[in-house]
Amino acid sequence: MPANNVNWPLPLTRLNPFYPGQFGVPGTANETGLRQHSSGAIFYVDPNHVDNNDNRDGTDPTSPLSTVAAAILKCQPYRGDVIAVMANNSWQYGNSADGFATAISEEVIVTVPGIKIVGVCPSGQGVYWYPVSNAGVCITVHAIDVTIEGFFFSEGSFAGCTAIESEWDGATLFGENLTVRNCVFDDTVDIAIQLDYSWYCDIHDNIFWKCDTYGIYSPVAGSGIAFSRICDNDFHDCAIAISLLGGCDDNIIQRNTIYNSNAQTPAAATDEGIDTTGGARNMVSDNYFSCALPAPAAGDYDDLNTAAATDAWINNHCLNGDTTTNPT
Amino acid sequence: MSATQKLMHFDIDLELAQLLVENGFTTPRKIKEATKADLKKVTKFSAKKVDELKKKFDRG
Repeated sequence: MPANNVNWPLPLTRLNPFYPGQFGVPGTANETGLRQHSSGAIFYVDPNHVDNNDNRDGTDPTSPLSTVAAAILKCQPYRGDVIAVMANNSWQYGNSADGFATAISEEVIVTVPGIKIVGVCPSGQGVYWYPVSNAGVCITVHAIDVTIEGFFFSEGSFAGCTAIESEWDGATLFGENLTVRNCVFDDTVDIAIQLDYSWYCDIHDNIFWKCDTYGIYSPVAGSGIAFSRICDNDFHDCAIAISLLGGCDDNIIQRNTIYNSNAQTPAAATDEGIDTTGGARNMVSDNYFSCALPAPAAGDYDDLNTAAATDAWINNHCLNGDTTTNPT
Repeated sequence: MSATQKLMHFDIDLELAQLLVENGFTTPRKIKEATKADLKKVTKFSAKKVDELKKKFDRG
Protein backbone atom coordinates (compact mmCIF):
# COMPACT_ATOMS: atom_id res chain seq x y z
CA MET A 1 0.00 0.00 0.00
CA PRO A 2 1.30 3.45 -0.91
CA ALA A 3 1.72 5.19 2.44
CA ASN A 4 3.83 2.32 3.76
CA ASN A 5 6.55 3.58 1.42
CA VAL A 6 6.80 7.04 2.94
CA ASN A 7 10.40 7.54 3.87
CA TRP A 8 10.29 8.78 7.43
CA PRO A 9 13.03 8.40 10.04
CA LEU A 10 12.23 6.54 13.23
CA PRO A 11 12.54 6.72 16.15
CA LEU A 12 11.62 10.33 16.75
CA THR A 13 14.08 10.80 19.60
CA ARG A 14 16.92 13.16 18.76
CA LEU A 15 20.23 11.44 19.33
CA ASN A 16 23.60 13.07 19.81
CA PRO A 17 22.72 15.63 22.47
CA PHE A 18 26.18 17.24 22.39
CA TYR A 19 25.32 20.19 20.19
CA PRO A 20 23.38 23.17 21.53
CA GLY A 21 20.50 24.73 19.66
CA GLN A 22 21.44 26.90 16.69
CA PHE A 23 20.44 30.52 16.96
CA GLY A 24 17.73 31.38 14.47
CA VAL A 25 16.96 27.77 13.50
CA PRO A 26 13.65 26.74 15.05
CA GLY A 27 13.56 23.37 16.71
CA THR A 28 17.31 22.79 17.07
CA ALA A 29 17.14 23.04 20.84
CA ASN A 30 14.38 20.45 21.13
CA GLU A 31 15.22 17.17 22.77
CA THR A 32 12.96 15.17 20.51
CA GLY A 33 12.30 15.20 16.79
CA LEU A 34 14.63 14.83 13.83
CA ARG A 35 15.77 17.19 11.15
CA GLN A 36 15.94 16.05 7.55
CA HIS A 37 17.96 18.95 6.19
CA SER A 38 20.94 21.08 7.20
CA SER A 39 18.78 24.13 7.84
CA GLY A 40 15.21 22.90 7.62
CA ALA A 41 12.66 22.56 10.36
CA ILE A 42 10.09 19.84 10.83
CA PHE A 43 6.69 21.19 11.79
CA TYR A 44 4.43 18.67 13.49
CA VAL A 45 0.68 18.74 12.90
CA ASP A 46 -1.57 16.60 15.06
CA PRO A 47 -5.11 17.82 15.76
CA ASN A 48 -5.63 14.79 18.03
CA HIS A 49 -2.74 15.59 20.36
CA VAL A 50 -3.84 16.70 23.80
CA ASP A 51 -1.64 19.77 23.54
CA ASN A 52 -2.24 20.85 19.91
CA ASN A 53 -2.34 24.57 19.24
CA ASP A 54 -1.63 26.73 16.20
CA ASN A 55 0.02 29.40 18.33
CA ARG A 56 3.04 27.22 18.97
CA ASP A 57 6.42 27.01 17.30
CA GLY A 58 5.36 23.61 15.91
CA THR A 59 8.82 22.04 15.83
CA ASP A 60 8.38 20.10 19.07
CA PRO A 61 6.43 16.87 18.52
CA THR A 62 5.07 17.06 22.07
CA SER A 63 3.45 20.44 21.30
CA PRO A 64 2.22 20.08 17.73
CA LEU A 65 0.24 22.46 15.57
CA SER A 66 -3.47 21.93 14.94
CA THR A 67 -3.56 22.63 11.21
CA VAL A 68 -1.50 22.21 8.09
CA ALA A 69 -2.40 25.80 7.14
CA ALA A 70 -0.60 27.10 10.25
CA ALA A 71 2.42 24.94 9.45
CA ILE A 72 2.61 26.29 5.89
CA LEU A 73 2.71 29.82 7.27
CA LYS A 74 5.80 28.87 9.30
CA CYS A 75 7.69 27.35 6.36
CA GLN A 76 10.35 29.22 4.46
CA PRO A 77 11.39 28.68 0.83
CA TYR A 78 14.02 26.01 0.23
CA ARG A 79 15.08 25.83 3.85
CA GLY A 80 14.29 22.12 3.70
CA ASP A 81 11.15 22.42 5.78
CA VAL A 82 8.94 19.38 6.24
CA ILE A 83 5.37 19.38 7.53
CA ALA A 84 4.82 16.05 9.28
CA VAL A 85 1.13 15.27 9.71
CA MET A 86 0.28 12.58 12.24
CA ALA A 87 -2.24 9.80 11.63
CA ASN A 88 -5.88 9.95 12.68
CA ASN A 89 -8.65 7.41 13.18
CA SER A 90 -11.39 9.02 11.08
CA TRP A 91 -11.67 6.06 8.72
CA GLN A 92 -15.31 5.17 8.20
CA TYR A 93 -14.81 1.62 9.43
CA GLY A 94 -12.65 2.51 12.41
CA ASN A 95 -13.66 2.16 16.04
CA SER A 96 -14.53 5.64 17.29
CA ALA A 97 -13.86 4.46 20.83
CA ASP A 98 -10.17 4.39 19.93
CA GLY A 99 -10.09 8.19 19.86
CA PHE A 100 -7.95 10.16 17.45
CA ALA A 101 -11.15 10.91 15.53
CA THR A 102 -10.22 14.36 14.26
CA ALA A 103 -9.22 14.16 10.61
CA ILE A 104 -7.30 16.72 8.63
CA SER A 105 -10.24 18.79 7.36
CA GLU A 106 -8.68 21.65 5.49
CA GLU A 107 -8.36 23.38 2.14
CA VAL A 108 -4.85 24.83 1.98
CA ILE A 109 -2.94 26.79 -0.64
CA VAL A 110 0.78 26.10 -0.80
CA THR A 111 2.69 29.24 -1.79
CA VAL A 112 6.05 28.35 -0.24
CA PRO A 113 8.42 26.62 -2.70
CA GLY A 114 10.62 23.71 -1.73
CA ILE A 115 8.60 22.16 1.08
CA LYS A 116 7.39 18.63 1.82
CA ILE A 117 4.00 17.77 3.29
CA VAL A 118 4.18 14.23 4.65
CA GLY A 119 1.48 12.08 6.18
CA VAL A 120 3.03 9.81 8.82
CA CYS A 121 0.73 6.83 9.08
CA PRO A 122 1.17 3.29 10.45
CA SER A 123 -0.79 1.76 7.57
CA GLY A 124 -0.63 1.99 3.82
CA GLN A 125 -3.83 4.02 3.63
CA GLY A 126 -2.19 7.29 4.60
CA VAL A 127 -3.37 10.14 6.80
CA TYR A 128 -7.03 10.93 6.16
CA TRP A 129 -7.65 14.36 4.64
CA TYR A 130 -11.04 15.85 3.74
CA PRO A 131 -12.17 19.20 2.28
CA VAL A 132 -14.28 21.71 4.23
CA SER A 133 -16.75 22.62 1.50
CA ASN A 134 -18.67 21.02 -1.33
CA ALA A 135 -16.37 20.53 -4.33
CA GLY A 136 -13.52 21.94 -2.26
CA VAL A 137 -9.85 21.54 -3.15
CA CYS A 138 -7.84 19.95 -0.34
CA ILE A 139 -4.40 21.13 -1.48
CA THR A 140 -3.85 23.86 -4.06
CA VAL A 141 -0.22 24.15 -5.13
CA HIS A 142 0.99 27.52 -6.37
CA ALA A 143 4.68 27.05 -5.58
CA ILE A 144 7.41 24.97 -7.21
CA ASP A 145 9.31 21.98 -5.86
CA VAL A 146 6.60 20.82 -3.47
CA THR A 147 6.25 17.17 -2.43
CA ILE A 148 3.01 15.69 -1.11
CA GLU A 149 3.02 12.13 0.18
CA GLY A 150 1.37 9.73 2.58
CA PHE A 151 -2.24 11.00 2.51
CA PHE A 152 -5.63 9.46 1.94
CA PHE A 153 -8.01 11.91 0.27
CA SER A 154 -11.80 11.62 0.50
CA GLU A 155 -14.75 14.02 0.29
CA GLY A 156 -15.83 13.26 3.88
CA SER A 157 -19.19 14.83 4.68
CA PHE A 158 -19.14 17.14 1.66
CA ALA A 159 -20.24 16.58 -1.93
CA GLY A 160 -17.25 15.91 -4.14
CA CYS A 161 -13.75 17.26 -3.98
CA THR A 162 -10.57 17.82 -5.90
CA ALA A 163 -7.72 16.42 -3.83
CA ILE A 164 -4.71 18.22 -5.35
CA GLU A 165 -4.65 21.03 -7.88
CA SER A 166 -1.50 22.65 -9.26
CA GLU A 167 -1.25 25.67 -11.55
CA TRP A 168 1.56 27.71 -13.07
CA ASP A 169 1.01 31.01 -14.86
CA GLY A 170 4.42 32.59 -14.44
CA ALA A 171 2.92 35.72 -12.91
CA THR A 172 1.50 34.83 -9.52
CA LEU A 173 1.13 31.03 -9.64
CA PHE A 174 4.17 28.77 -9.79
CA GLY A 175 2.88 25.23 -9.24
CA GLU A 176 5.52 23.19 -11.04
CA ASN A 177 7.95 20.33 -10.36
CA LEU A 178 5.27 18.86 -8.09
CA THR A 179 5.79 15.40 -6.64
CA VAL A 180 2.78 13.39 -5.49
CA ARG A 181 3.63 9.93 -4.23
CA ASN A 182 2.36 7.24 -1.90
CA CYS A 183 -1.13 8.76 -1.71
CA VAL A 184 -4.58 7.18 -1.95
CA PHE A 185 -7.60 8.84 -3.56
CA ASP A 186 -10.94 7.19 -2.78
CA ASP A 187 -14.18 6.69 -4.66
CA THR A 188 -15.73 9.93 -3.42
CA VAL A 189 -13.01 12.14 -4.89
CA ASP A 190 -14.12 13.81 -8.12
CA ILE A 191 -10.72 14.83 -9.46
CA ALA A 192 -7.69 13.38 -7.74
CA ILE A 193 -4.95 15.51 -9.34
CA GLN A 194 -5.58 18.44 -11.67
CA LEU A 195 -2.64 20.09 -13.43
CA ASP A 196 -2.64 23.33 -15.38
CA TYR A 197 0.62 24.25 -17.14
CA SER A 198 2.50 22.46 -14.34
CA TRP A 199 5.56 20.94 -15.99
CA TYR A 200 8.12 18.46 -14.68
CA CYS A 201 5.71 16.81 -12.25
CA ASP A 202 6.45 13.37 -10.81
CA ILE A 203 3.37 11.36 -9.89
CA HIS A 204 4.17 7.86 -8.79
CA ASP A 205 3.09 5.00 -6.53
CA ASN A 206 -0.41 6.30 -5.85
CA ILE A 207 -3.75 4.47 -5.85
CA PHE A 208 -6.82 6.01 -7.42
CA TRP A 209 -9.89 4.05 -6.25
CA LYS A 210 -12.90 4.68 -8.51
CA CYS A 211 -12.46 8.45 -8.62
CA ASP A 212 -15.75 9.93 -9.79
CA THR A 213 -14.50 12.10 -12.64
CA TYR A 214 -10.74 11.96 -13.26
CA GLY A 215 -7.64 10.37 -11.81
CA ILE A 216 -5.13 12.77 -13.37
CA TYR A 217 -6.56 15.63 -15.40
CA SER A 218 -5.24 18.43 -17.55
CA PRO A 219 -8.31 20.21 -18.94
CA VAL A 220 -8.81 20.94 -22.62
CA ALA A 221 -9.56 24.59 -21.94
CA GLY A 222 -6.45 24.94 -19.80
CA SER A 223 -2.74 24.82 -20.55
CA GLY A 224 -1.20 21.40 -21.03
CA ILE A 225 1.50 19.77 -18.96
CA ALA A 226 4.91 18.72 -20.26
CA PHE A 227 7.98 16.73 -19.24
CA SER A 228 6.09 15.00 -16.47
CA ARG A 229 6.31 11.44 -15.28
CA ILE A 230 3.24 9.39 -14.36
CA CYS A 231 4.51 5.98 -13.33
CA ASP A 232 3.65 2.95 -11.18
CA ASN A 233 0.17 4.13 -10.20
CA ASP A 234 -3.00 2.03 -9.95
CA PHE A 235 -6.14 3.53 -11.46
CA HIS A 236 -8.91 1.23 -10.35
CA ASP A 237 -12.14 1.91 -12.20
CA CYS A 238 -11.92 5.71 -12.26
CA ALA A 239 -14.53 7.33 -14.51
CA ILE A 240 -11.54 8.54 -16.55
CA ALA A 241 -8.04 7.50 -15.46
CA ILE A 242 -5.59 9.86 -17.20
CA SER A 243 -6.90 12.70 -19.35
CA LEU A 244 -4.09 14.89 -20.62
CA LEU A 245 -5.80 17.38 -22.90
CA GLY A 246 -5.13 20.95 -23.91
CA GLY A 247 -1.79 20.08 -25.55
CA CYS A 248 0.27 17.89 -23.23
CA ASP A 249 3.72 17.12 -24.63
CA ASP A 250 6.77 15.02 -23.83
CA ASN A 251 5.32 13.16 -20.86
CA ILE A 252 6.25 9.65 -19.74
CA ILE A 253 3.39 7.36 -18.69
CA GLN A 254 4.71 3.97 -17.68
CA ARG A 255 3.88 0.87 -15.66
CA ASN A 256 0.45 1.99 -14.50
CA THR A 257 -2.48 -0.39 -14.11
CA ILE A 258 -5.84 0.79 -15.41
CA TYR A 259 -8.89 -1.28 -14.59
CA ASN A 260 -12.04 -0.04 -16.27
CA SER A 261 -15.23 -2.02 -15.67
CA ASN A 262 -16.85 -0.83 -18.90
CA ALA A 263 -13.90 -2.03 -20.95
CA GLN A 264 -13.72 -5.28 -19.03
CA THR A 265 -17.44 -6.04 -19.62
CA PRO A 266 -16.92 -5.11 -22.56
CA ALA A 267 -19.02 -2.01 -23.09
CA ALA A 268 -18.35 1.46 -24.44
CA ALA A 269 -15.48 3.12 -22.55
CA THR A 270 -14.51 5.93 -24.89
CA ASP A 271 -11.28 7.60 -23.72
CA GLU A 272 -11.80 6.43 -20.14
CA GLY A 273 -8.27 5.02 -19.97
CA ILE A 274 -5.46 7.30 -21.21
CA ASP A 275 -6.23 10.19 -23.55
CA THR A 276 -3.46 12.42 -24.90
CA THR A 277 -5.49 14.06 -27.67
CA GLY A 278 -3.90 17.30 -28.83
CA GLY A 279 -0.55 16.47 -27.28
CA ALA A 280 2.77 15.44 -28.79
CA ARG A 281 5.71 13.10 -28.20
CA ASN A 282 4.33 11.33 -25.14
CA MET A 283 5.89 7.99 -24.26
CA VAL A 284 3.26 5.53 -23.05
CA SER A 285 4.65 2.11 -22.35
CA ASP A 286 4.22 -1.02 -20.28
CA ASN A 287 0.82 -0.08 -18.85
CA TYR A 288 -1.82 -2.72 -18.07
CA PHE A 289 -5.42 -2.23 -19.27
CA SER A 290 -8.56 -4.28 -18.53
CA CYS A 291 -9.58 -4.19 -22.18
CA ALA A 292 -9.22 -6.29 -25.28
CA LEU A 293 -6.77 -5.65 -28.11
CA PRO A 294 -8.10 -3.48 -30.98
CA ALA A 295 -11.05 -5.37 -32.50
CA PRO A 296 -12.69 -2.86 -33.29
CA ALA A 297 -15.37 -3.10 -30.63
CA ALA A 298 -16.84 -1.14 -27.76
CA GLY A 299 -14.42 -1.08 -24.85
CA ASP A 300 -11.39 -2.26 -26.81
CA TYR A 301 -7.91 -0.69 -26.58
CA ASP A 302 -8.74 1.87 -29.27
CA ASP A 303 -12.00 2.81 -27.55
CA LEU A 304 -10.51 3.06 -24.08
CA ASN A 305 -7.54 5.18 -25.14
CA THR A 306 -6.56 7.87 -27.65
CA ALA A 307 -3.01 8.81 -28.60
CA ALA A 308 -1.54 11.96 -30.10
CA ALA A 309 -0.06 11.43 -33.56
CA THR A 310 3.56 11.72 -32.44
CA ASP A 311 3.17 9.67 -29.25
CA ALA A 312 4.97 6.35 -28.84
CA TRP A 313 2.75 3.73 -27.19
CA ILE A 314 4.92 0.67 -26.78
CA ASN A 315 4.20 -2.75 -25.37
CA ASN A 316 1.08 -1.96 -23.39
CA HIS A 317 -0.79 -4.98 -22.08
CA CYS A 318 -4.42 -5.94 -22.64
CA LEU A 319 -6.61 -8.82 -21.47
CA ASN A 320 -5.70 -10.90 -24.51
CA GLY A 321 -2.18 -9.80 -25.35
CA ASP A 322 0.24 -6.94 -25.89
CA THR A 323 -0.39 -4.01 -28.18
CA THR A 324 1.77 -2.98 -31.10
CA THR A 325 0.09 0.27 -32.17
CA ASN A 326 -0.91 3.66 -30.89
CA PRO A 327 -4.63 3.68 -29.96
CA THR A 328 -6.89 5.65 -32.25
CA MET B 1 12.00 28.42 -16.46
CA SER B 2 10.43 31.72 -17.50
CA ALA B 3 7.01 32.20 -19.04
CA THR B 4 8.77 33.25 -22.26
CA GLN B 5 10.75 30.02 -22.45
CA LYS B 6 7.65 27.95 -21.78
CA LEU B 7 5.72 29.67 -24.57
CA MET B 8 8.60 29.03 -26.99
CA HIS B 9 7.92 25.31 -26.47
CA PHE B 10 4.83 25.93 -28.61
CA ASP B 11 6.94 26.69 -31.67
CA ILE B 12 6.97 30.48 -31.57
CA ASP B 13 10.07 32.66 -31.64
CA LEU B 14 11.61 34.49 -28.72
CA GLU B 15 10.44 37.93 -29.82
CA LEU B 16 6.81 36.89 -30.10
CA ALA B 17 6.94 34.96 -26.82
CA GLN B 18 8.35 38.03 -25.04
CA LEU B 19 5.68 40.24 -26.55
CA LEU B 20 2.90 37.92 -25.42
CA VAL B 21 4.27 37.62 -21.89
CA GLU B 22 4.78 41.38 -21.59
CA ASN B 23 1.12 41.80 -22.43
CA GLY B 24 -0.08 39.30 -19.85
CA PHE B 25 -0.45 36.26 -22.10
CA THR B 26 1.76 34.08 -19.95
CA THR B 27 0.03 30.74 -20.56
CA PRO B 28 -1.66 28.84 -23.40
CA ARG B 29 -4.89 29.09 -21.40
CA LYS B 30 -4.72 32.91 -21.51
CA ILE B 31 -4.01 32.85 -25.24
CA LYS B 32 -6.89 30.44 -25.84
CA GLU B 33 -9.23 32.65 -23.85
CA ALA B 34 -8.11 35.85 -25.60
CA THR B 35 -10.19 37.24 -28.43
CA LYS B 36 -8.63 37.42 -31.84
CA ALA B 37 -8.99 41.20 -31.64
CA ASP B 38 -6.94 41.30 -28.45
CA LEU B 39 -4.17 39.20 -29.96
CA LYS B 40 -4.21 41.26 -33.13
CA LYS B 41 -3.82 44.42 -31.08
CA VAL B 42 -0.80 43.03 -29.25
CA THR B 43 0.98 41.30 -32.11
CA LYS B 44 -0.06 43.56 -35.01
CA PHE B 45 -0.53 40.32 -36.96
CA SER B 46 -2.95 39.83 -39.83
CA ALA B 47 -6.17 37.93 -39.08
CA LYS B 48 -4.70 34.85 -40.77
CA LYS B 49 -1.54 34.94 -38.65
CA VAL B 50 -3.57 35.41 -35.47
CA ASP B 51 -5.57 32.32 -36.42
CA GLU B 52 -2.34 30.38 -36.90
CA LEU B 53 -1.04 31.60 -33.55
CA LYS B 54 -4.20 30.56 -31.71
CA LYS B 55 -4.05 27.13 -33.35
CA LYS B 56 -0.59 26.52 -31.92
CA PHE B 57 -1.94 26.85 -28.42
CA ASP B 58 -5.41 25.39 -28.90
CA ARG B 59 -4.55 21.77 -29.53
CA GLY B 60 -7.11 20.06 -27.34
